[in-house]
Amino acid sequence: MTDIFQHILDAIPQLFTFANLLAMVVGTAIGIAVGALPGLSATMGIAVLIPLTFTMEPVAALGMIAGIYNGAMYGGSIPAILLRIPGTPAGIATVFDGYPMAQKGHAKLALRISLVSSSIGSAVSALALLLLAPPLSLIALKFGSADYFWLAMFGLLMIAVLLSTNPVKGLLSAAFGLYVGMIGIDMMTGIERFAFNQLELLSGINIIVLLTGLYAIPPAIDLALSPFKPDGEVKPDSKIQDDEDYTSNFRWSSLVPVWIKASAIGVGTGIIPALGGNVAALFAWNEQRRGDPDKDKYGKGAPAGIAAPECAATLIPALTLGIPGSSVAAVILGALLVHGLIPGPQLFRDKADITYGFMLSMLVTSGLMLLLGTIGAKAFVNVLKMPTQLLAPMIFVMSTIGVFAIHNSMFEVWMMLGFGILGYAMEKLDIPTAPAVLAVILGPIAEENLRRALLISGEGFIGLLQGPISWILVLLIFASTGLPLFKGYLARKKAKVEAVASEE
Amino acid sequence: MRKATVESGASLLVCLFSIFGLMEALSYPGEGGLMPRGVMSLMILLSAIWFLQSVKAMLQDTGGMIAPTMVQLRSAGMLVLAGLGLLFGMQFIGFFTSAAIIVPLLGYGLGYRNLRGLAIGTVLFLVLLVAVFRLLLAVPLPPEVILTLVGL
Repeated sequence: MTDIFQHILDAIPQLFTFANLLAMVVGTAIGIAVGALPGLSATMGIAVLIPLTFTMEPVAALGMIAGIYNGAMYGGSIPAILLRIPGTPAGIATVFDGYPMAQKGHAKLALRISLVSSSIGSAVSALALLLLAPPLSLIALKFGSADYFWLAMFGLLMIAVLLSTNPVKGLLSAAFGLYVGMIGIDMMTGIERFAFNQLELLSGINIIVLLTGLYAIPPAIDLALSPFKPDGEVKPDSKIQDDEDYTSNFRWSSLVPVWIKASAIGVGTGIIPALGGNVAALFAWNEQRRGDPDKDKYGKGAPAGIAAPECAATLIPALTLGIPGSSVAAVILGALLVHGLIPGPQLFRDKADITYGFMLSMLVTSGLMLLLGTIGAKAFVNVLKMPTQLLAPMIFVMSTIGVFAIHNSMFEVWMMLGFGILGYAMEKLDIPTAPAVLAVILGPIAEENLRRALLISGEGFIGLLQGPISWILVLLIFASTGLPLFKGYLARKKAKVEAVASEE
Repeated sequence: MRKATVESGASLLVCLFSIFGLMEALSYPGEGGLMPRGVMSLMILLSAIWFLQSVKAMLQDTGGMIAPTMVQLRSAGMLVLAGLGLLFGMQFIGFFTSAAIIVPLLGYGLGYRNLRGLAIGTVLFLVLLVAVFRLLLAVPLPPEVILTLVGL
């Protein structure tokens, strides 16, 4: 524990430099704006801006990314409350009570509750990350090569199976990611794999190219193909004329128990690998409603119904075990990789200063979010007026220049566009893209440890199952992949029985 | 078109790609070929299951439709043209000049008819791009023909 505080104290001075603070402020403002734009998400915002952070110092770059992540979590609630369109997937639960509250003429208060709750949730999540992640990673440091291989497999299978309604598609996405991760020269044997004598492919596919392609281009295509909204159709500022008496008389202390409960749910849900903020938000809203004697008020504009979902989210499993809970966590892992931080327990040993700096920046940006959200409330609401037809080409241009800037390579730009089209097709065919990204990150780690474990044991594949940790992980793999398949089987069986019953 | 039909075609393509990948992986010697062979075999298996699932959905007439409208097809065509224009344009006339042409043209083509908004949006966006990529990050981009002509 003393070590943790020492690392935190060491990270503080490098975090509070002018450049780093500026990066966090800019990141948070961009995050709120991106989250506020329907159709754009934190995932896209981070994917577009990763190339920009490429030349920055790691702490500043990761501070900016932390700002985008936290900012977008709040930003997503702006269209959810004013337009009934969740700006981010986690904003779905905010719609339930946020929009009815805005319809009653209390939009300003709804936005304020969302901002304060989101800031508290982000701060609690950052504190949990700071205090819980290092001890968790200490356990993981006891892992051997075979255990690391199974851990990587567990992470991949969990996200592949749980993020898709059809596990086959999730697994296919993960397998594709493993394939992409193998392209280039094999570091252990020196042989070329899937490079097809292309000089540009010998060093492998840059993770930024993949992330930008899969996460920035599909939303741009979606925006370009979405039905045109003429000027003036969206007038959010007319909706934020609030009943001032109601707002000033609102009892904020009534939300304290809600914040405590929702934060606990957020951290608790977030610790479980592959359960992201979206699940936590819905879970928190449902629990708030379930625990309230007056259940009928929920869904009709209850302030507690906004506060609960806005308070729940965390990144603990993503950082400690390398298992993200959502697409945005997978992209953040990619961003960490770009700056030399390999996800997993070794983060806290090898790059402690940057890792703690990143976790602290999550805490700082939660405060910045409250500040910027309060000062720039009206400006962020006006972001909703931005025409999507102009936004689409801008995202496209930004992605192109961003990827070109990495190595001045047109080949990488073409490749990014190829991944963009592939990502769009995957979205339309309900194939999740997060397993592919995670596989590109975890694939080389899994392969390296597999080969090392086989070499050390000298007993072939039996050698992969010699320690208790390996056995536990294998059992977890079977449980986590088998459960959704079993649930799917039961659901199909139930539907069949119901169909027969209705026919009779 | 029915989604299941598209999916069956896509799964076949993935299966063919994986078979080609496996053939390539079989030529890799020693332990360096272990993972490629495993992954490509897995992809063949998964794509085959996906194909069977799609065929089943086709036979049972389940799953949705993929039916793009004429406007969406036109927008997609414009997007492709704009993309090609930007990529080739940035090599010949420079990145910022290409962006200054493509952004308002594509915005207009996609249905945004507010000319003042187009102009202001494009100028602000270009100022941001130049500030970040030229002044802040100093990224070496292809030369801008217009600037070269005026001697800058």
